[in-house]
Amino acid sequence: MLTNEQIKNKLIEKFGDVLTDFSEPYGMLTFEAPKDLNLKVMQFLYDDAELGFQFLTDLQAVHYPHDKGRELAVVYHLHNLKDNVRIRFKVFTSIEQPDVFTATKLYEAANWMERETYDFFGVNFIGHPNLKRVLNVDEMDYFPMRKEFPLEDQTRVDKDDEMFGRGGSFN
Amino acid sequence: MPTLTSRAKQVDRRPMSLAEKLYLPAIFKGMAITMIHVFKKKATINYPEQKRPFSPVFRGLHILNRDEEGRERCTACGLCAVACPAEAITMEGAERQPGEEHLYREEKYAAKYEINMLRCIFCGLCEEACPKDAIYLSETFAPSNFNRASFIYGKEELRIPHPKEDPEGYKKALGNRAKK
Amino acid sequence: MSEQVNTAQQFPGQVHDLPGGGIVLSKLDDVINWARSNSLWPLTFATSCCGIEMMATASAKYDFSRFGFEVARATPRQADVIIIAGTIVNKMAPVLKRLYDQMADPKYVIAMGACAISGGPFFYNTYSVVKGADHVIPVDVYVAGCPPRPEALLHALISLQEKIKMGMTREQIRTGKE
Repeated sequence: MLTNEQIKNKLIEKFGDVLTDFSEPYGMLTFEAPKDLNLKVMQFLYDDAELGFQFLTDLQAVHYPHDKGRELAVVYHLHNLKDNVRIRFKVFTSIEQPDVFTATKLYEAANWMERETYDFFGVNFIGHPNLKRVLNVDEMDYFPMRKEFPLEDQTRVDKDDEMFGRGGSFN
Repeated sequence: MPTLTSRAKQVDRRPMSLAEKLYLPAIFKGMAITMIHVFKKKATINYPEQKRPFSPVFRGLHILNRDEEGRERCTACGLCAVACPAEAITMEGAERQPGEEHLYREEKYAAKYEINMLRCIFCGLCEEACPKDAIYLSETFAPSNFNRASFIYGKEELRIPHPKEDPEGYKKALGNRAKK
Repeated sequence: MSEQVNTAQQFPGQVHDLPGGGIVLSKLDDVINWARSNSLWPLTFATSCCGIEMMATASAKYDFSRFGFEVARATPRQADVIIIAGTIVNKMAPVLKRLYDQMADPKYVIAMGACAISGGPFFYNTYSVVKGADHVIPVDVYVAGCPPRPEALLHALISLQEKIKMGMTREQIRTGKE
């Protein structure tokens, strides 16, 4: 049976101290990797006979607007189907140049997930075969899940339906 | 190829026996299940004639409550409109004039109270927000209609029948939902 | 149900005995409307949670086949009424329009649930939701609720059926004018 401790030791043995921030929120091993090493880490997790993380469950991004230089975090969730162990690791990138290597060569499942991450956060996955919007309309020229947009003012009084595509007071 | 999981099962690919090759036992087995279901109790509820009882927590159309003397409870504080996630409630408050004490319980009342049923999601947050128990969600669902304007429910549609003038209607509308 | 509905459910083409002893035959129009109203096949257009409620309406407990909404078709070319069950997002709007265009006349549209009729909780502050399906295609019946009960959808379907039996065109149904 694979334990978090074993995975962590194996990773440190292979990559040394470039992997940082090891923690186990809710029992799930989480760590941070440098962004140009993301493919190497994934390849190691995939290929190693004992680790065998051959299933990418999820891939998404988080926007930390106040963390200068590392605003966007791309999070990978991996699953070992044999031992039923899950891990997750993050890769940080700046918002001015949000370039991350694509994982599509390793996991086919990453294709649409990366497109979705590009769609909502604008992460540019280098080497992706078809990086275009998947859920939003193609004409959209902004990335809606970035925290660039102010929260709504609760005291706002201009909530006229006419401004929101509905004329009159009753429809 | 190594198995991907530890729970993989080998598929049984032995040739079929004579009984299996005939297929008839399997067909009769299936037909028997069909026949059993013919004689079972029918699941269908004939909707317009028969009505299915709603769950006690079902949230349907809103009702603007009155107290026992028929005075409106709503004070137009606006808490329901703030709580509404779909922003479907609009209201206008007005001050109670002398001589209107039998109509409104407090000094302030809602002159206009509208719920846009097109936008309402029947979440019940207005009921939870109301400090005066003036609004609650009843056990009737909103009827469908052909034009949009009829979905704006004003005070006339929302108000509970007067307990003195129409005690039966009041009781019926009250149900067992309104807080006492 | 009221008596008026019962007479409407009578087959108009059959030979009625009149009190005076004579017989009368209905107009061909009435027969057509009767046939049309009792074979309204819906198109499944379930984009979100209202779709589950639409499936419940179609399945054994409520069973809309009893009223002639026989089977939900998965192709617009065989459907007469489109039940928009769920949120219409901007990306889905062209698809909805296209499906509607592909349906053969006479066609009817039912918008089910708060999202489809007005955008519901997504009315303000959203970047992706169409504020009501009637921005895209004309809607005949609106069903409020989030999601509406299967009874509410059945009510909508039956009331649409009655309007068709009365021989009303879509414009007349929508505007309420004879």
